[in-house]
Amino acid sequence: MNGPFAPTAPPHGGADSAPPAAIDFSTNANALGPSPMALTALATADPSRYPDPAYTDVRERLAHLHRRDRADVVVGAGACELIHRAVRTTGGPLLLLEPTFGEYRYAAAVAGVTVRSARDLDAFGALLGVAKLAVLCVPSSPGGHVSGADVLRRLAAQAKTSGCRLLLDLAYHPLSQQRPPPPADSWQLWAPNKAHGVTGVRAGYVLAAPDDAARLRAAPSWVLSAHGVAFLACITDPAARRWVRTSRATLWRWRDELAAELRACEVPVETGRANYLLARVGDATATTRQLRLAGIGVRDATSFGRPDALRLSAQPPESQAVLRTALRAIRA
Amino acid sequence: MTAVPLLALLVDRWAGEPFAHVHPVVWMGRYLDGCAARRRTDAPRARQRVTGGVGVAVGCALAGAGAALLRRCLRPLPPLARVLAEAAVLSTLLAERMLADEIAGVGRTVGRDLDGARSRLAMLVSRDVADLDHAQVREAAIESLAENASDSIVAPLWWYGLAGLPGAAVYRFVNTADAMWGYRTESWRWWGAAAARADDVANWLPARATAVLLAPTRDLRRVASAASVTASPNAGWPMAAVAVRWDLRLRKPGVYVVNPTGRTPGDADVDRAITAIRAAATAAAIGASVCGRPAR
Ligand SMILES: Cc1ncc(COP(=O)(O)O)c(C=O)c1O
Repeated sequence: MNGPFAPTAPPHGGADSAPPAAIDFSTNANALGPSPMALTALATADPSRYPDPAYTDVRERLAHLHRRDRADVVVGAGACELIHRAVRTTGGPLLLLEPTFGEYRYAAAVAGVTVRSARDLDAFGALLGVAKLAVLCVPSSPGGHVSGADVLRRLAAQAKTSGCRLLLDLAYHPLSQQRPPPPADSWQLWAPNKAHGVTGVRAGYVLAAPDDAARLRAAPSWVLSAHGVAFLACITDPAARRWVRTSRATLWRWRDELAAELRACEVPVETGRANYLLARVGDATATTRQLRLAGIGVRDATSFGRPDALRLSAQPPESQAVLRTALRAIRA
Repeated sequence: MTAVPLLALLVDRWAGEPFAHVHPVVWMGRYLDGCAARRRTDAPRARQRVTGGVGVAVGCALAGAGAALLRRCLRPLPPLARVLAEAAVLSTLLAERMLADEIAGVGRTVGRDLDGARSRLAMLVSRDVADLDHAQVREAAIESLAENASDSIVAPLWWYGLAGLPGAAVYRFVNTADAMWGYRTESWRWWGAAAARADDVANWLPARATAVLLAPTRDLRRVASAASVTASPNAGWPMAAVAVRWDLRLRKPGVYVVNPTGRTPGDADVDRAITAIRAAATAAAIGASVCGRPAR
């Protein structure tokens, strides 16, 4: 065991133990979801038997989708589960570009691995030689910013020569307005349950070089459920992909409308290229509590190191109107 | 005379990636991280200052000695091979902060895609980009490029010209130490003070030389007064040179305005600045080639 303290899980957006908020800006899942194709696939999944323990067919489909080899594909019970697996596989130190998603640090605590944090890309590059695994979120969370393809390529090359693995967390890449191609020599973590609006389905996958993929595959047998398999298989379907593609423009429009609404309430906003933005409300924790009382869920960015901001996802105009009214009442 | 600096610049520009396999900066990062792991933020400030300073001094000695040793190992090679090998090593000391292409890309695409340019910029520079307009994104790109030219090209070449490969290696170490330790936050400022000061000293002349290369025909007193608005004793010089040469106003919102009476930069100014900055880098490489002594 690693000392007397059990690591505590990081805060997340989305559901908590309370009844779901009527209006939820806190999860970054596609607000137009769930995608009908995903729902159909889930309804027709066969839970009466174990899935193929090697997940051969679904890995083949995902490989085909990314023009890779089946040997490069590792499936898991969601991005979070795969993050823990990656950290366990490489060991530490783990390098992060702060502020970022809290699960990486948690995975390091669970694995008893040290964390190094960089505050900018220069320091991140220089620290690659210290770390065994470096994680970069593209687009970043909570900021929603996207590095250019050149930067990603350079970091991947640097990591490779430093004996460090670069893991790109592409959870929101499919919904981003800028989608630089991830370099082939990095580890790519995909979490399609976001883009398809079915975050309750715990399924994701990693693309890595075959040797690395073989090591990453070490996990409990049948880690991915029959529903997870059905969902991952369905996202390779052209119709399902088209659904994500057509939803994007709406999400970006809603994000920009939300930004305009917030500015009209005199709340400064930081918008990146993702389907979410940061609203600088001042006291994020208090505002989160007050909005929750009004039936609105938002993500307090304090745990990202931004005690002044809320992270809000793109939601339809009706929800924006409710948020505006509640914010006006709070700030009055 | 030696062809090493010019070749190194060519390698950096056209074949950077294959040579990324030799990574002195990664070793420097390892050393700096190992030192910082022993950092005690509850120790008295003076003690933090001294320990951080010793860390920088020892690192400089190691970087210099490592480069000298490498140079000695190259000695048995035939002259041409030796020059090429040394150029490859020097290029790795130039390349590290060469995100110049990315910054230039930001400056060039802002007219077409403001939000995309802002978002890419946010990953490169430490400033809040959310409310930057077209002009401010261009200004930020020009400022970063000018600063980058001084830090990543002119300064290491300058030190190469003066002291050969060991000079460039020590410079790169000091610059990396500043990037990793030189923060103004309470937990870093005492420990990182020596790193920040050493970086200021190492860049003092190169930053001014970059300014001369960027605005060769301008009145240096005007450049100096435009440069004086930044907190860093060096960072202002290269951007002030660009600002004075084309009479541009360059702002960092809420922090400084260089040449406040200048014009707002347009797309053509970004292109001009990129060209001038590249030319300055080439001139620096020629200068270092002329001043540098051939390896004996
Ligand atoms: C950046 C990022 N990566 C990964 C995840 C987790 O994804 P999954 O639901 O597949 O575990 C999240 C969820 O909040 C996230 O924000």
